[in-house]
Amino acid sequence: MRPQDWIYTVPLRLRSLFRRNHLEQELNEELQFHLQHRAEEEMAKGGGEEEARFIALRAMEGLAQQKEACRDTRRVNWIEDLGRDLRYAGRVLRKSPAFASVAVLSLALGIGANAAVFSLINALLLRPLPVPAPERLVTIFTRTESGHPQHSLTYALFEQIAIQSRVFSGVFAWSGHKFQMRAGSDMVHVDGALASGEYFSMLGVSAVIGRTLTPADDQPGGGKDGPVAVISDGFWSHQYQRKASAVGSGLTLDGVRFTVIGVMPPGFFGAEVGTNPDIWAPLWMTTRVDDGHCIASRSCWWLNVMARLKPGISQEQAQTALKVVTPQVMQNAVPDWGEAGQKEFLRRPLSLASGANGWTELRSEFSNPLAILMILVGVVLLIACANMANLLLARASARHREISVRLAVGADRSRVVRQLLTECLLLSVLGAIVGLLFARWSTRLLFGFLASKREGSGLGFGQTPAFDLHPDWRVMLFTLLAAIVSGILFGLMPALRATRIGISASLKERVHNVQRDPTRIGIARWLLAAQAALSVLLVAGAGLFAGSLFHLLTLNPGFDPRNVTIIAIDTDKRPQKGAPLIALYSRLLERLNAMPGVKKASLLWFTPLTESGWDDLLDIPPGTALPKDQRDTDINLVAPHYFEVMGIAVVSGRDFRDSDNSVSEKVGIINELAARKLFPHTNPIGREVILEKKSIRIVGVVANTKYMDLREPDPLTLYLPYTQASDGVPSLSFVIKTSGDVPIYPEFRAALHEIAPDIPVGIAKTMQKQVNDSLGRERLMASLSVFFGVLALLLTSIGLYGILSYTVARRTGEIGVRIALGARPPNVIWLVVRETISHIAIGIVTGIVVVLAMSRLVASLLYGIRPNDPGNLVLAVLVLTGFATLAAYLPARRASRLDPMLALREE
Amino acid sequence: MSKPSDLVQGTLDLLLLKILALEPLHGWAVSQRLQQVSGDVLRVSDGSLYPALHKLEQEAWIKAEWKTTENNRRAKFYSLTRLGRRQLEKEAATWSRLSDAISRVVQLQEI
Repeated sequence: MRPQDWIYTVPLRLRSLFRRNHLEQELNEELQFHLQHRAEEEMAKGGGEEEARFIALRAMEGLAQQKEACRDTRRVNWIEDLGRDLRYAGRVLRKSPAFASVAVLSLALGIGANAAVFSLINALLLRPLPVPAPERLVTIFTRTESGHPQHSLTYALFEQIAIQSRVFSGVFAWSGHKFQMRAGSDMVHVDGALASGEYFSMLGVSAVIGRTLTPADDQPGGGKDGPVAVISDGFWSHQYQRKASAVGSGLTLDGVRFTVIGVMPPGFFGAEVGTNPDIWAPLWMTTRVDDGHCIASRSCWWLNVMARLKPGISQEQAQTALKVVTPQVMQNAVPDWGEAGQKEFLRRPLSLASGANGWTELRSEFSNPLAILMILVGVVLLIACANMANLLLARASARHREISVRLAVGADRSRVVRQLLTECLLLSVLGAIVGLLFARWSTRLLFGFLASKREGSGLGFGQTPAFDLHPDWRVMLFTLLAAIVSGILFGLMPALRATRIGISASLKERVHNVQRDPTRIGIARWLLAAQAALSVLLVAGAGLFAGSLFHLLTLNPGFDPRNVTIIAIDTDKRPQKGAPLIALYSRLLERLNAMPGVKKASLLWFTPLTESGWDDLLDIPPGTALPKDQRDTDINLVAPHYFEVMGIAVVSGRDFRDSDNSVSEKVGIINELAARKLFPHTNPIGREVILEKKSIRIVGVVANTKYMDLREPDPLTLYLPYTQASDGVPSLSFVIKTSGDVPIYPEFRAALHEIAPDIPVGIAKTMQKQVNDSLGRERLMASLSVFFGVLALLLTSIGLYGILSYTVARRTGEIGVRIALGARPPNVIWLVVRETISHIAIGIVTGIVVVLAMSRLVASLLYGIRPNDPGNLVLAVLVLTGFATLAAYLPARRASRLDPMLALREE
Repeated sequence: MSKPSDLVQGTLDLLLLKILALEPLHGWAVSQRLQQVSGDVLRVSDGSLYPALHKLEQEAWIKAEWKTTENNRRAKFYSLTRLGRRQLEKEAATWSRLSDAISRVVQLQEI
């Protein structure tokens, strides 16, 4: 039917649905009219009235059937039937609450787990930006030498892309920025972003009050209105109590007087998913709020770049056009690297990707783990479905007579199947509803793993990601689909089987005999085999992820995180980076060392395990021919006693001293690995290394430690005293060893407030938490895969228990005879478990094959364990066998202890 | 009576549409007319006539009205709609193409 005909047919359907009684009456009248005419015709031929009516009715070939056929043409029958089926299904389920609640609960777990993981995928990968026509947005990125996408670009690149390309309505860039602001007596940090002039117009969102940033605001040296800022709805609420006078008022950020020019609508967060900026300032303000080095440098990678496609231009066309101008763009934006670096840079491509759902750095890290989790929860749902199918097969025996009677009185088989399926769908939809509640709770839990990861990054000032986790229509649709698919998956086969039996045969049989259905137990065993295979998959997966986490947690990072607290502060806004700042840090250190409970305090620049740090190529005179890739050394700035605080052994030489200052000789301490690599067979103490063309004398060697990432092998490390930092002292973190679990932060805050009230209050974290947070991804994978593995084992065990109990019940008589004839308990047990064991074995072998085939998928997420680790597989099989044995024990024991007399009498 | 002498699938629709295109009729009259015009060759059982009519009505090809017959009885009269007329043209064209093709095959001379 053509769609435009719907305007004629839809009213007909509605009439059929809502004027049902009226239509029934009409139908009746119409058919009676016909019957009457036919009867009159017959009477005219010369028959009795009775006989004529009878002939007329016979000509109809079944009045009731024809009426039903007429009703069928209305095409709304299914709705009416559905209503009836649902009511009936509700009644049936209410009558067996135990079955219903077990079913709903296991489905809720299966479907809920799927909904939870999907919610995360939705928030991270699928949800479009809340801006007009988000599908016209693209992100622009390049690729490093190794082919990895690199989303941060230089200002020169951004500028050149904007100038050279003709396929975009506009190109915009932004960079996250933490503004310092005074709140009461404290300085606080406010999340914000520096955004280019086209940022708001290209996103297509205007301010609710005032205006947004324009290219005229984003000029070197500031626009005509001076420094301007746009604020978020939330910031407007808590700083300005939603007063309209906020617009036009002044706001001091990073010591710069800004004018607020506009307020964004609620829910607007810009282009970066997972962030919640409160303040947007023009990109060029970086020269005022930062040192401005990045906007001038051609090698500072600090911007995310997106663009809106011109109307009528597809992403493919834009990509082609961009490819044409890429050489020109790269040529004009070449960074001030060495010749080799520049050559490599010129070969880099510029690529486009859809920007419809914005950008987040979490995406690249978590899309793979989330895809694997999606598979894991899918497998859990399959196992739950297999269990449901087994339950329904068992119930089908009990409902045998009911179904036979229905078929006998003329119900269509497909109609009965539909009714049984409706019951299953009701169960799975109920499961989905409970599952959604479960998902709402567990999504938050899962999200914690992602969030902790993010908090651990940077200098400790990372912001907690703020994703919109509310279930939207995508999550609802997904959950509904999961419910329907699983309902059909577990319901169809039992329903078809239940309605297959010949009517008369089954009606004549006694219920007792009907239960002897050999194929039913066969199917149940194959379902069990499938469950076993899927369980092996989940348990082996759990083993791999738990193993990885275990390896990482028990790994010696080279330092002792116990009772160590890190407090990060931000001194970047201090005008002097030299002696006064060193004096400030010294005073704060003194205060800390004097606090009760503090064993020792020190300073460092990059907190370990944040995946960030400073690395450079070291040179050693005279011209040691060590290849480039073996001289790459991680560098950190520390204060004296750092090694003592962190429990890192000084192997030879000395620690830094207060006398190592900006005027004394430049000194450094290397780790054992660097000593071995850079100075093989010689004592490194007193030797020199060259960093940035300056020579540094080695005064000590310390034990190896992890630096940026626990998962990487120990790097070559060079420690320098912070007092000798070449570009002035950066923002440092205090590391404090305490005796026991002593909270230092409040006292530190008081001291900071007294000594330097213009420095924002820092944030504190224990080193142990830092270690844990750096393993967010591993903890996510390990805890979830173990949870799902246990769930799979439980479901499979329940399935096995059910089948064996059923086998024993079915063969009670036979077993009794065997025992009476002298069978020993082991014989009896073997008899009971024999067939089932073979199926489980087949399942396990299949599972192993699947694990071996799929394990490559997870290789990149593992640490210290190979994906096809034989020990892990053996362990998985053993665990599964253990659970299976437990599940088999009760029914097998029951069988071996049967009293033959009782058993035979029962028969 | 068997099925409507196994009318080619869909042909019943064409016949009913054609009959109703001539004048609005009630079900009984349609069955009489069918028998009359096709000379008892195409007989539609009393039973299967009504589902067929209802189907056409639900497709919005015909519409029904309650009117009084000449014998002063209330009856449901069916008449063609605009959609129905279009459908009739389409089905008639299909039918003639089909029957032409078949008759050409049937008339092939055996060699």
